[in-house]
Amino acid sequence: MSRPSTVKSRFWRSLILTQLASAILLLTSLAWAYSPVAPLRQASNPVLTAPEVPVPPRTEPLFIAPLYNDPEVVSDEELALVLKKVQPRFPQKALKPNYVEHALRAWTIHAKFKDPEVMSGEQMKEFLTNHGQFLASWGEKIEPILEDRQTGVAIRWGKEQCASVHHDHWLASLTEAGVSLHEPVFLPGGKQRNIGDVLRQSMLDFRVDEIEVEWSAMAFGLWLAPQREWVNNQGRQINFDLLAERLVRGHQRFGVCTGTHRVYSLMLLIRLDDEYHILSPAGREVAWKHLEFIRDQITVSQFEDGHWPSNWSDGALALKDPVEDELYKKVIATGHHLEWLAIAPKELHPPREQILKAADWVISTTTAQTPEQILGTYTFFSHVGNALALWRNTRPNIFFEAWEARESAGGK
Amino acid sequence: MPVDLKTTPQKSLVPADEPGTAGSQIVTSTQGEFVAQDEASSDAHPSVGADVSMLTDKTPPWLRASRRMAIITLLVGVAFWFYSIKPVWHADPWSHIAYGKLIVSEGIPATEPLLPLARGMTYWNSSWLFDVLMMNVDRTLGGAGLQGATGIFAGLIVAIFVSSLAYTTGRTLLACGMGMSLLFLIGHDLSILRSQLAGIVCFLTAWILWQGAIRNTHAWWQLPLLFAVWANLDSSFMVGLIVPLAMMSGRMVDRWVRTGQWKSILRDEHLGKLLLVTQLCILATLLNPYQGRMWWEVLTFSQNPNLSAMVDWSPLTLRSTEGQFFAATLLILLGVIRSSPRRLGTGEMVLLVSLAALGCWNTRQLVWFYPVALWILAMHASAILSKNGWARHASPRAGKWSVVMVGLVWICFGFSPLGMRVLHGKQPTASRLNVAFAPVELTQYLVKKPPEGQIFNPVEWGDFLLVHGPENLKIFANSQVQRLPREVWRDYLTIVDLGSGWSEILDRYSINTVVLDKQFREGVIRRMKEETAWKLVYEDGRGAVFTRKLPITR
Repeated sequence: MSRPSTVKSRFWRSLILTQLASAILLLTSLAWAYSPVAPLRQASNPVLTAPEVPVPPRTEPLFIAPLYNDPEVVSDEELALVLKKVQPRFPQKALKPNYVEHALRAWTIHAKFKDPEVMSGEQMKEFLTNHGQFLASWGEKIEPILEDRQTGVAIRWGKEQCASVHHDHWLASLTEAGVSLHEPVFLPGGKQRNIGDVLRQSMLDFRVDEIEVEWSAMAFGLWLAPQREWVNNQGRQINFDLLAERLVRGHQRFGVCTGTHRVYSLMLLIRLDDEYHILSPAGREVAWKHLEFIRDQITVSQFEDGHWPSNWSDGALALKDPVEDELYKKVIATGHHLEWLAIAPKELHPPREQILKAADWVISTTTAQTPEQILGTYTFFSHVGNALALWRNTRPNIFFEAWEARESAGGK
Repeated sequence: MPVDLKTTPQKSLVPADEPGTAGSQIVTSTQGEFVAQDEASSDAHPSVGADVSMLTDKTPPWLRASRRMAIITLLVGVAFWFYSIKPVWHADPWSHIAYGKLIVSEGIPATEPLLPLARGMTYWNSSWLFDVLMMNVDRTLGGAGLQGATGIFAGLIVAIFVSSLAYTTGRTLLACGMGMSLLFLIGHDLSILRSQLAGIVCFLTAWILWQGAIRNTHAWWQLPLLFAVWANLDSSFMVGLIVPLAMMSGRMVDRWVRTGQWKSILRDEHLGKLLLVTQLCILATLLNPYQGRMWWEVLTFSQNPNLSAMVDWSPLTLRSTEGQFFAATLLILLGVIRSSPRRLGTGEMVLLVSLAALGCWNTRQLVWFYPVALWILAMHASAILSKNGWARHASPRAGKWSVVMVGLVWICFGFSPLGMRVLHGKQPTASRLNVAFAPVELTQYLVKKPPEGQIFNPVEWGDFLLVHGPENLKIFANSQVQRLPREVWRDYLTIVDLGSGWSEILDRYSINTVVLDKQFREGVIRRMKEETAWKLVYEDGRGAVFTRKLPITR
C-alpha cells in the first residue's frame, strides 16, 4: 500500500520541481534579455513603458563662446543702438511665448533693465516656466503651454499665438538663456517639476524625421555632451551623428528661417564636438562639408548692399534671378547668418568684406525701425541683437547693462 | 518453358476490423497500416505454374514501397516541381538574403543596418537562421537554388501532411484530396520563399508529433528540439505553442466531463508528461539570440502601426477571396462534423477556434488554420466513410512501386530548375527567374549608373535592389516596413499615393533619383513625367527611373 503513495509523492515532487525550474529559467531569460549587458538588448521593455534616457552630466547648460571681438563689424555705439531697439518690451496681455523665448535666448535669464516696462530675464523665465504667469496673461480659456506627462513635461507647440511656435524651441531658448536643470516648472494644478523633466520628455518625444529638429539638436547638445546617444520612446537609438545627418538632409529652403537655424545648430554641434567629441569622424565630416557648402552659397548670393536674400541657398542663382523679398525676410537671412558666423572658425567664413557689409546693412536697417515695426517682427530682430553681441564676444545683457550703467553715470 | 502469368493469388484486402472479414490474411497495424501478409514475407513464393521465381519480387522487403507511397510521392513530386518552376516573385526572399549576408559577415545587429532612414531603429529578427540558410542557398546554387528551396518546402509540407493523414486514416485518396485542398488554400503562401514556409513545416511536424506524444517515448526531446529550431527560423513558433496548450486543456476538460470530478484531472498520468513536454517546448523557444524578449516582440509585432497599410496584416473580411474561402471551409467542416460518428475532442475544438480567431485577426495567419481544419475534416470524413461501409483498401508493398517512386522523384527533380542546375549546371536567366516581379534590367541600369545619395523606391523592390543593385545603395524602404520610423513610412505612403506635398517630401529627403514600378505606380510615373523638375532617364516594361534636373547638393 505504501508504494502508490511513494509514487504519488514522487510525482508531485518532480512536478513542483519542474515548475519551479521552468519559472526560474523563464524569469532569468526575460531578465537577461532586458538587462544592460545583453548584446541585443532593447532600451524599452514591457515592464518599463519608456526607455531610460541619460541624465545630463551637468546642472547648467553649456555655452558656445563666440570666437571674435571685432569692433569693425559692430562698434559699441552701434551695438548699443541695436540692443536698445530689441529690448523685450512686450504688452503683458496675450503675451506670445514665441516672443518671450526669442528675447530670453538673446538676453538670458540674468538680464536686468532700467526701464521697468522692459521684461527682465527673471520675468521672462517666470512667464515660460510658471503656469500661473501664463494664465495671468492669457486667461483660463486657453490651453496651458505646459503639459504634465507620466514621463516628464511636454511643451505645447504649434501655430497658435499662445503656444511655442517650434518644437523644442521653448527648451532650446531656456537652455541658451542659461537656465538650471533644477529650475522649477509650475504646472497647472500647482504641480511642480523642473527643467530636467522637460528635457527628459523632449528626448523621449524626439523624432529624427519630424519637420523641425534644429532646436532639439541644440538643446540636447548643450545639455548632454559628452553623452552621445539615447533612445526615444519609439525605441530608436538617437545620436548626434544622426542629428547632424538630419540637419544636412533636404533642400535648405525647408529649414526654419530660410534654413539658417539648421546651419547654426550644425555649427553648434561641431563646436561641441571640438571639446566633447560627440560626433564620429564620419559625422563630423558630413557636417563640416555641409558648412563649407553653405559658406560657398552665401559667398555668391549676397547682394551689393550687404543683405542676403531669403533664397540664399540657391547660391549664385539668387542674384541672377532675384526674388521680391519683404524686408523682414532679408533681416532673417542676414541676421541669422551673422549669428552662426560669430561662432564659426574662419575657414567657414565668406570673405571678411562680406561680413562687414552684412553687419552694416543689418545695423542700419534695425536702427531705422520704429518700435512698432520691431514689435511686429521681434523674433527676427532679436537674432540681429544676439549676432552683433556675439561679434563683440559678449552677450546682449552683459553689454547692455554695462552700457546703461555707463550712460547713467555719464548723465549724472 | 512456358511462363505462367498467374503469380500472386488475388485477395480481398479489407481491414480486419471491418465486419465480415474473418479469415482474410490481412495484418493491420494499430494505426491502420495494411500489409498483405504473404507479400510481407519475401520467402513465400506461390507454388503455381512453372518457374515463377523469375517474376517474383526479389527486392529486399525493407526496400519495397506500397502503391500508397507511390501516389503520395507523385503528389509530393508534383507539388515540388510546380513550386520550384515558379519565379522568385516576392520581396521576402531577397530580404532574407540581404539580411543573411549581413548576419554572416557582421553578426546580428542591434539596430537596423540596411535602411539609412531607419538608422537607430531597433532591429529584431526572428528568422535569422532562415536568412543565413537562404543566403547560403543563393551563394551556392543561385536563383535555381531559391526556386528549388520553395519547391522543397512545398513538397515537405505536402509530404508531412498527406503521409501522416494517410497513415492515420488508412485512406490514401482522401489524404491526397486533403493535400490538394491544402495546396489550393495556402498555395499563395507556399509560392513565397520566406521563413513562414519553414514555420509551416515545423507546425505540421509539431501537430503530428503531438498527436502521438503520449505513446512516443522520444517526444520529450523531439518536440522541444523542434521548438528550439523553430524559434530561430520563424516567429510562428508562438502559434505552434497553441497546439500543445489547446490539446492539453482539451484533455483536461474531456476528462473532467467524462468523470464528473475535477480531481480526476490530477490523477491523469499522461497529463503530467504532456505538461512537462509543453513546458520544455516553451523553454526551448527561449534558445534564441533575443531570449525572452523574442516572445514580447512576436506578440506585439502585428500592432506596429506601419503594418496597417499592408493587406497581409489586415483583418479578414467576407468581401475578400480569403474570407470567402475561410467561410466555405468552416461550413464544410461544420457539415462533416455534424454527420460524423466520430467525437470532436475539446482540444481539437479549442485549437480550431484559436486558429480561426487568429486568421480573422489578420489574414496572414490563416495559413495555420487550414492544415488543422483539413486534418480534422479528413478524420471525420473517414469516420463517415467507414460508417457507410466504404472499406479502406490495403496497399501491398512491392519492388515495382519503389521503382515507380524513384522514377517519379527523378523526373520531378530532373525537370525542375534545381535539377537542371545540379545535373547540368544550368541557371535560369534572370528575367525568367524574376518574371513579372523584379526590375532586372532597371537594376542593371542602376549598377551602370549608380545614383548618389538617398533614392526613392517602391517597398516591393527595396530588397531586390539591396541584393542586386549597386553597392551602398541608399534605398528608401524595403519589405521590413515595421522597422521604418512612422514619419518616414507616412512620407512614403504620401509619395506613392501622390498625396498633398508629395513632391516637397522628395525635396526634404534630398532625393535625386526616383525608381518606380509600373505594376502599382503607373499613376506616379505618369505624374513624374509631367513634372518639370524631373527627367525620365530609364524606362522599360516594369518600371522607370527619374532623376532631378537640378540635383539637390549638400
